[in-house]
Amino acid sequence: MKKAVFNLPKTEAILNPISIMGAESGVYFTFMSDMGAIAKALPEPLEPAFPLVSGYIVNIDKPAFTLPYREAMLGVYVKYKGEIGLFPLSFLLCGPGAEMATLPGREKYGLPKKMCENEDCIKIMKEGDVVRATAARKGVMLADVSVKLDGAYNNPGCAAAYGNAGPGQKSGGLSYYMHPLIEPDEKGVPVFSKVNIYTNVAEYTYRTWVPGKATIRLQSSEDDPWGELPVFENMGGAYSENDLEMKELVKVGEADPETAIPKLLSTRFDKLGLIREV
Amino acid sequence: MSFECISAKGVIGNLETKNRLVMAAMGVGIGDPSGKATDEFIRFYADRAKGGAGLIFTEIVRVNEVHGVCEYDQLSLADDSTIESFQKLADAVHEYDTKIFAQLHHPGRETHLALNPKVNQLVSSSPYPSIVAPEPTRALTAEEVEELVKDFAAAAVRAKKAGMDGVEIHAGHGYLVHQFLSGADNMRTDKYGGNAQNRRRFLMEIIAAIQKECGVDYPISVRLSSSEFLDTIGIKGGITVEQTIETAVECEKAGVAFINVSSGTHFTGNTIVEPTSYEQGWKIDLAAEICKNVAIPVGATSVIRDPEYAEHILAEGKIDYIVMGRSWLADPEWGKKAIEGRSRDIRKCLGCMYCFETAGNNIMTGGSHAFCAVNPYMGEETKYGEPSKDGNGRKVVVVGAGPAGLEAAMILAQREFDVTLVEKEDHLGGQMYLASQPPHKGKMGNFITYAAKQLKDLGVDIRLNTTATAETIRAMKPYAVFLTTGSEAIRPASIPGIQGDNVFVPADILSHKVWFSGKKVVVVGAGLTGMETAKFLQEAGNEVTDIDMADACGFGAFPLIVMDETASMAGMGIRTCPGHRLVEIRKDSVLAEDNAGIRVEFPCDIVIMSLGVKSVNRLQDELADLEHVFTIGDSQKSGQRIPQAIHPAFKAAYGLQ
Repeated sequence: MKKAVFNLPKTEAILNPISIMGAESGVYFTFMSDMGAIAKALPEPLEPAFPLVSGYIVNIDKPAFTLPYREAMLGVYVKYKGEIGLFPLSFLLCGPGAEMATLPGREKYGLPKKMCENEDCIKIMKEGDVVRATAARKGVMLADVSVKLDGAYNNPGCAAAYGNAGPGQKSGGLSYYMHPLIEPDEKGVPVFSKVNIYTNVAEYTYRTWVPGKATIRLQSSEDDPWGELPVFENMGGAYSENDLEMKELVKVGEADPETAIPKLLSTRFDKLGLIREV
Repeated sequence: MSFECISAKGVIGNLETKNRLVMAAMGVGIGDPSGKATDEFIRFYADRAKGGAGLIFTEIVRVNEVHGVCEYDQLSLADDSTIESFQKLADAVHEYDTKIFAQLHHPGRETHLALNPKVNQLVSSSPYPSIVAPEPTRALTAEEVEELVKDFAAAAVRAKKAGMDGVEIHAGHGYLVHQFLSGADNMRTDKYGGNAQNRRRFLMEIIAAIQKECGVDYPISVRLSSSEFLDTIGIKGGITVEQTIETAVECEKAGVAFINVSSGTHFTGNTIVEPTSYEQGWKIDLAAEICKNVAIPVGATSVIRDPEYAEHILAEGKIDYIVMGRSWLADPEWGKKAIEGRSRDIRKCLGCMYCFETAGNNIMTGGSHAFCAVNPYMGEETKYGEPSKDGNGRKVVVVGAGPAGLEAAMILAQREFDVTLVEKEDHLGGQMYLASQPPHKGKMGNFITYAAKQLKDLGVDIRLNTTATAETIRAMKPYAVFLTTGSEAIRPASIPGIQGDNVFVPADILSHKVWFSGKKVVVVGAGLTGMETAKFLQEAGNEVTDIDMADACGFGAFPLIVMDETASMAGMGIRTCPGHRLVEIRKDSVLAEDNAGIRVEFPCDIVIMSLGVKSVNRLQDELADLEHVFTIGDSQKSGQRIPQAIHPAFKAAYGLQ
């Protein structure tokens, strides 16, 4: 075993691992929510594109950059400079590789990632033609999604959200991320001085994609606002096994920290981490 | 109260209007595919002119047959073939000293290729499809825009030839001219895009072209959306009232005679045709801001239902003309009654959107027209005249004072039958009364208030707190019996725990028989009644979760109403869980099964069962031997909506021999 050293050679001191989430498997879901609620959650200058929300709860068994982990994501469709993409509002992670999936995700992409306290906070349970996935954090079940894998979405319109997902297929989707940068001001108070807007393409290579009837239950806790997006229609879900590759990151703009930051922190920090108790 | 302001004469350009009451353009589908004003159409407008409208804007009139068709049965002035029918329309309206303008319109991307088979792409300012009904869309070239300017002018010339008093350019509501005005839609980089002046260029060129062809004194009205309200859903760049003020000022400078203020775009459709929850006058201050900045007259819509309110905003100088749409559908004599001070005799619009829904059903294929839930005559003016007064005092018993019973009793009494209306509750209205109780739903009670006044004036014998039996009915020796006994909530006996003392139905809550606060509540059923009950309870300080076995809240209901309900539920923080079938009610929870058969427990103190209703029609069999027995509304078939109660009741009462 080659032991770690404090002083890495320059050729190794690069935060640019291969961003492949290999052997990903789990539940993907989409539901109809409310434009006003989505708008409330979205930092400017991103604009809601549709009142749809998509998410997943998956195992990632062969990530190229860490040990296996599990991840849950909730995202909304946004428009920026005329282009529509998915904006992940929140990620929850657990499992042996969660820490090293969380830290680079946050530091490199600005992803709103939080770790759950236990290894089993995120579960994917498949039995026959039923799959159920749950994501809990600090004792609150934030997401509980089941899919009856009967080959058809609840609403056929759901297919539009998943492009040409199917066994042997590849599909790429644009995503947007906001990366807040913090530094102390002249009085030593930490302030968010800049928010970068990044985009990239996430490309799935599917081994399986089985559509089905989803039922989506979301709730908020004191620290995680997953229930803020109401579920007004279960549009559909699927069970999939795939590999996901994150392509090159591109900076496409900046957001005004004053308006953006209030909408970026609760999915990155817990309540106690945000305020100084007097 | 006097109504001096609404009855005062007004001046629009070189025209004098007999009062300040305007009927807005509304697509009602009474025309035919040729685009001609049919006899039915002419009668529809003539009745509103007779009923007190000072100025009428026709429904949308297309100016271009290639990519400008928006509705199957809409009017057209795209060629000369329809001029004669417009002449008849103008003549019929002028009989009542009412002025009429043709509303010139191009839908842009807000239409369907099926209605425009000559093209394979819809057109807009930019190549972005509609968000509401996306179909392939391309940007018009500058040359095509110039051609469309000529189309508008040519249509105006035809309108003038037909004797129309003026034209209105529809530059609002997300249609083509609006698609140029809006910074959220218009991404062009040529002379028709970019800054506000360039985005206005199309509109200004249309105005100039009409003036060139029709003369500068031919009155032009411009309909504008004061605001798109896109910011409320997080979309930037939409039209704001500040921009609309600028547009109105430019219109005035160009010689426009009238500014007609509405609001909204297709994506914010509920701000164009507002559901019940929108309060009267909710957007009048936006119109008032515009009015302050121009000297030409300004009219505006704003869910105006009450003459007192109309008088008030004119007296305050907020606007110069009262523009109403659906109020004229619900009562063609709105203006006459208002001016005569007979406000309580006006059959007021509920905001239920049935007109919009039924109009929409026929956009692609025609075949029928818009209907008004509370006014069965609407669109049927040539079919139904005044009811014949041939009741000759014959006794009719109406059992149940819901909407069907109220309508039947009114028509029968007008026909001079001797009507007794029997109601077991202590109030009129039935389910309609309950529907008026949730937050912001008070307008649903308009019909009850109206009917109560009419029944009193007509001398109908109303017996509240009275349960009708076959014996009591027979004792009255009726010539006819109308059974409009409505429905009652379904409480499936097969559900364990259904009989628990923690279980109620919406009627218990909405009738105020039961009240509680600070409880965890599960409402089972997320149809309209379930959602409204959930809102009622959340507002009362409870924490509500609304579950439904259907995959969508409001399943089967009109989408714009559902959107209105769900948006307010989202704002109130009500949790919704569609896709859950009720399995069991426990003392402190509800057990439900989801789409995958997984059982989930929802903790709660109280359960509201909103699973629909079943008919109450026990008297039907007991009175089967009588000759004229009519079972109508929910008592005939459960789960009917308001028009399915009122319209059959009207027809049965109207046609009783």
